[in-house]
Amino acid sequence: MIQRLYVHNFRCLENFTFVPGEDSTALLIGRNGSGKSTILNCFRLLQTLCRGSNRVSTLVSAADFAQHRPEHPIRIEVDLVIDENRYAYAIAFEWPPQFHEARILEERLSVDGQSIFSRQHAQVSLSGGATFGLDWHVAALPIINHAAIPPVRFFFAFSIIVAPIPDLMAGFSEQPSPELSYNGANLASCLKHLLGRKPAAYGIIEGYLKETIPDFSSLEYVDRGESGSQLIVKFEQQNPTRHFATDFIALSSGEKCYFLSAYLLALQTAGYPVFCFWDEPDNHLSLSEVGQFIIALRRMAHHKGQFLATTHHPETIRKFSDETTFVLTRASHLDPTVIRPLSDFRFEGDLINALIRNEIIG
Amino acid sequence: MAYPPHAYVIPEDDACRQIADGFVLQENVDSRRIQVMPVAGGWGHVLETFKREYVSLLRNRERDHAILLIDFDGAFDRRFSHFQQEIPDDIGSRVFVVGARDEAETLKRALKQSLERIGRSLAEDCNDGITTHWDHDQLQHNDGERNRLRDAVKPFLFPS
Repeated sequence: MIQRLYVHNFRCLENFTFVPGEDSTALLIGRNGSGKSTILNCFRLLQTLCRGSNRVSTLVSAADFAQHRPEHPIRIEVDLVIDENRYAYAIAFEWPPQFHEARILEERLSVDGQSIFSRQHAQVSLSGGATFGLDWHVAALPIINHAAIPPVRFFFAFSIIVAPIPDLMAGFSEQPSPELSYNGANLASCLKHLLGRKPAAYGIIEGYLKETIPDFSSLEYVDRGESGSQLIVKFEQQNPTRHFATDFIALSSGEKCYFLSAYLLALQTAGYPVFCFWDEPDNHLSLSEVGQFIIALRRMAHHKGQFLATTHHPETIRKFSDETTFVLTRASHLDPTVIRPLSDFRFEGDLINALIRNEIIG
Repeated sequence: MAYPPHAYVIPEDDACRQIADGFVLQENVDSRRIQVMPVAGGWGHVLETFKREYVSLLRNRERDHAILLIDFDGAFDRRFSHFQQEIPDDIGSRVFVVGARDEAETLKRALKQSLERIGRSLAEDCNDGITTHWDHDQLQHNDGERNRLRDAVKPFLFPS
């Protein structure tokens, strides 16, 4: 579970600290351009790194330096708890004059206060005292072989950081995968991977989908040539009994999001603690379903995991409390983002009306 | 068409809304059988909203219920009686009026918990068949309504 995120000089985040609080769920609200998605992009950077793309050029570009000032290093620090161990990881990037890409300035990892490794430029120091040189255009976390590191790598590599694009969610799977893509396009591959590892997860998926799509019957994978398989969704209606089957791609955008939510719930129930950051989870959903959808995800995180979300949707905002809602404000494009819990704000009457009047996110 | 039983919560204000949301978040509550509606903006508006939108709804759907969540502002007897006079007899068994003796915020200060946490605690009490939190001085006056709620909605809100 993420306990603290500190970001400096990354896009609109300067000397920025986000502490989600005691609850394992948090909602980020704010005007367009206030920095919600930039927080998400910090986590995506860590995910990209832990999924193996450790070249600095794949992690940051010149545009990522705040106010396009590459002379000020980017720093990202994250504190997280995994299986009751406290991990602290930090990475800093700099872009010296005459360089064509950024390089690592500093990097370090500690567990329960004990240093696992630290690094200045190319010089890496391990906890036992050994030192070695490493290309300063490559991050060390995915490379160093130490028993304490895999939990951090797995946490970010398998985290669910999504802004689904339903049109890209075709339901075709070439290879089972535990790593859900940002746009959710490989959901069928992830479902297949989960069901292959934990067949009992099917019951959770089926139960959730039957609640949200009453005529849902079952799903199955059908081989399509040698290249992979297609996810087929079956529906059934009673009295008189009628059946209908369709390729996943033919489902509506909202229905595809139900499958994504079912996947998350099944992951968590199967024993995988889910860290999920969903950019506008209410997109594509009908008004009557938004509340149920958000409650299901919040409950999942209360049981085991963490759920962060951004939104502009009134019904989603109403499903979070003053303590779990964080307001991002930014005076202008020349000013950094400021974050405060909604409980810090005073307003009269209805919260949604106050937001519409710009009383809070102003 | 046969609808499953359902409960609509009409909260007076945002504090009441957060208590209700906390109740629904409790893991044993069947969250598809209950919906917390937008805040009405005062106890008078709760009553107006109920009369305008829910009287006909409850007459059309005999398995629906309405929970009016208000602050009694230290005037429980008078305000409760006022609501009872306005609720039509034919749907009265499916309408409930509950809330803090003073205000939801008073309850929050007394219990030193977030409103959402209070809501979850109240749902835990319901699930466990105990009244630890419901017995608080700010909530004890709800005993009659709580007993009616237990009989009417617990079977479908707490199915396990």
